[in-house]
Amino acid sequence: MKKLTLLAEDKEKERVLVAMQAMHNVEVISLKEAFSEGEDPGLIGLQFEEQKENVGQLTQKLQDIRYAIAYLDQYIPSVGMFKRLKKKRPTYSLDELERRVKEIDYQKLLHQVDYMEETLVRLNEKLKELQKEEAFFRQWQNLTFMPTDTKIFKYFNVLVGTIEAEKAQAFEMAINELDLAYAEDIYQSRDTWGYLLVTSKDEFETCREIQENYGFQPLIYQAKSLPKDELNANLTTQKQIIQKITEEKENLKKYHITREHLQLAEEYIYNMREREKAKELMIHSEFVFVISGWIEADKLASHIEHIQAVCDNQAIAFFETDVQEEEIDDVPTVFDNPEFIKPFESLTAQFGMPKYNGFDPTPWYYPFHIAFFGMMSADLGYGLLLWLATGYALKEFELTKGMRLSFKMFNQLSYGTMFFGLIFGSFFGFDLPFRLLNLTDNVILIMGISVALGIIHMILGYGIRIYLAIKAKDYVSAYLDGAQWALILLGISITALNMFFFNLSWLSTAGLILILGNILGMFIVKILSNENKLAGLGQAAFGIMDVAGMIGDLVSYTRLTALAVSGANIGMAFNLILSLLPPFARFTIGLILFLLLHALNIFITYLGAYVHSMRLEYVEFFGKFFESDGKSFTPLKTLEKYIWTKKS
Amino acid sequence: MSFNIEYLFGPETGMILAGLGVAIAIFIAGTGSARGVGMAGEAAAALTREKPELFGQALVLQLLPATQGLYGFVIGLIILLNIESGMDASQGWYLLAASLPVAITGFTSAPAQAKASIAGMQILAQRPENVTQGIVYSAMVETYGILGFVASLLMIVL
Repeated sequence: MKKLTLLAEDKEKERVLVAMQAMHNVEVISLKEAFSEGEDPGLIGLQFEEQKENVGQLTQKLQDIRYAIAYLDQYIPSVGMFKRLKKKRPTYSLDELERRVKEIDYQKLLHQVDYMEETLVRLNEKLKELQKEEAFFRQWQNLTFMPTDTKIFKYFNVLVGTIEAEKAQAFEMAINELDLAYAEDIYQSRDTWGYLLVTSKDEFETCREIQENYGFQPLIYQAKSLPKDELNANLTTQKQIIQKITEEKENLKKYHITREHLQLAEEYIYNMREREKAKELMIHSEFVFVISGWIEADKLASHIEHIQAVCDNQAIAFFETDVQEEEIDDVPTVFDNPEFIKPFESLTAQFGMPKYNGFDPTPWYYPFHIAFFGMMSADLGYGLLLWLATGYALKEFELTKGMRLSFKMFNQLSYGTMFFGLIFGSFFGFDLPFRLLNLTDNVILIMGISVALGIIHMILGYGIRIYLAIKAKDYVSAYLDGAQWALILLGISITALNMFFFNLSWLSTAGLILILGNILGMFIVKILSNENKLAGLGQAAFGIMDVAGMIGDLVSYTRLTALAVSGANIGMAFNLILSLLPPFARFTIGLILFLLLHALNIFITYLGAYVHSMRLEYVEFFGKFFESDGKSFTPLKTLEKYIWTKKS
Repeated sequence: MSFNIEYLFGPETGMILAGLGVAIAIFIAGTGSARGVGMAGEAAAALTREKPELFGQALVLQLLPATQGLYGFVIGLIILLNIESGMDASQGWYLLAASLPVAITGFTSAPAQAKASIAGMQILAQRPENVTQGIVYSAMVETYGILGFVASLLMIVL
């Protein structure tokens, strides 16, 4: 890492930022810290620009655009996953993007989409309203006269209204008991019944009492024609609206060009917002500005060259500085590994970033990771499949950078699967004619190999710990946290090997001396290094408990065998079941079943292998030495969600 | 008539006891996994209702407690391959005992793992980029199911 500081004339501000953003390799840092507390930059004519308003406006725009894109996504028919993944992304330089977006007039497009959405919402609301009315008219459709016409009788009182369903029958009976009154139901629904009520003027008062007692509600009818006609008109309008909604939706399906344009606008606005954010970190004066940031040392020269190429050379001054001792805590970390190890860096980053100048364990666990994954998913067929699938995806699909790295990782892991598949002689659960080890008969040996791999893995972990402690001149820790355990582990391995293979008494003594000697060593070092000798003794006694933890770590590696045996046996069992089918079925439905069952086993096996190889790294390996207190490198960069951006 | 175990099991007592071991390994571990995957599945479904695009990762978290059932199945299968007619009753008892570690650790660890998976789905919902960490938390629980499997395996093959 180096710090690049750049002083330039104000007119070059935008162009410098665009050039930096296109390169994706400077993390802009705030210059506020350059001033000590109480010092006012304003006094010497310098200032920091607040861009909150700008950034806020751009964020709002970005949200609007994203909302519109998501809205269009609902209606524009999606292409198949395969086609989508294969579709090549266009490449733009930031200048080209800006020109293109200015041609597009995305504000107008946003309004258009907004208008379409509003239209659809309005139509749907209208439809809902009509459906409500439809229910009303449908109930009253048997009414053959206008409810408003009932006032014309001289001797009779005619009423139309509703009553709650459970009171309806009692109500009808009560009315019929009167001399000159008549009640007839017009409709019956679950909640209410509709009634036509006829009474003579003489009995009007009694009838009203009954109405009140049973909660009769007179109908309020505001439509201009008969319910039946209203219903027909309503249904016709509904049909028209539904037709219109379909038309609008059809229309929206053709909006893919609009969506593409909005996607470009999203890229453009996002990039602009990131540049505005960067401006907050710079320092400005009337004529010049200063921007500063971290950059990888080997990229510095080409970065400066690029800025010089696109900006006015006379107006810019560059300053490079090395990382200062007191800055180390603030410097972001970038992994620096050969191309084939790069895909595994994300595993380390998931656990935590090492400090700048810290220790990157990625290349050290790399071979173990492939071996662990391979052992837990050992099958030549499964491995070939993974290799082909990831290889095809890498070659044919347009992948994001993260996806590309993941596919590359699995592509490499598949070599482990194929290798151990050959050793265990397994091909889609069938036995290969040749094999080194057999997962049914040599389980104990394979378990021994697992633990042996684990011992090497752990000793490497302790070794790194020793190296780091010595580098930090902490020799006590080098022994207590590293050397001691590595030597005890060595003692245990010697004793075990001797027991199984050599049976030499001096070798067993040597193993025992290593184990006991180092436990004794722990006591001595703890007591000597501790100011309070008694506390040191106590700590050492507690330290013996850590031996149990170490044995636990060792046992943990038996999962390599466990997952290998379980994956292989399940594959075998599936084949066994399929072989029981009669020949005709075996080669028809059996083939389909074979594919489905093995697809299931492949998924479960790879899931287990992926997860548990990660666990072995995180707990058994990283636990010995890794300190993850670094920051990851977040350069000023472009969105690259729908397009690629190029330098110029 | 005095009680006689042979009266109950017939002459093939050993085979029947071992068969019981097959059944126990498969169904008890399977029950544990079924419960675990079911619990995690509920949480996954609730999550996918809000964010259907996370289906794949939610599925991974849901399936983590599925392995205990598979371990039980494998031990059941291996015991099955070791059954012979006319085997000793003591051998039958031994195979029955060998089925217990995987069965019981599977039964208990799968639902516990499911709980860790469900918590992992919270990570998935709010910070999908950190879901790997949730997966690792959940995988920690599985260790004990694996140890049960290893113990059962060792009892049979040693």
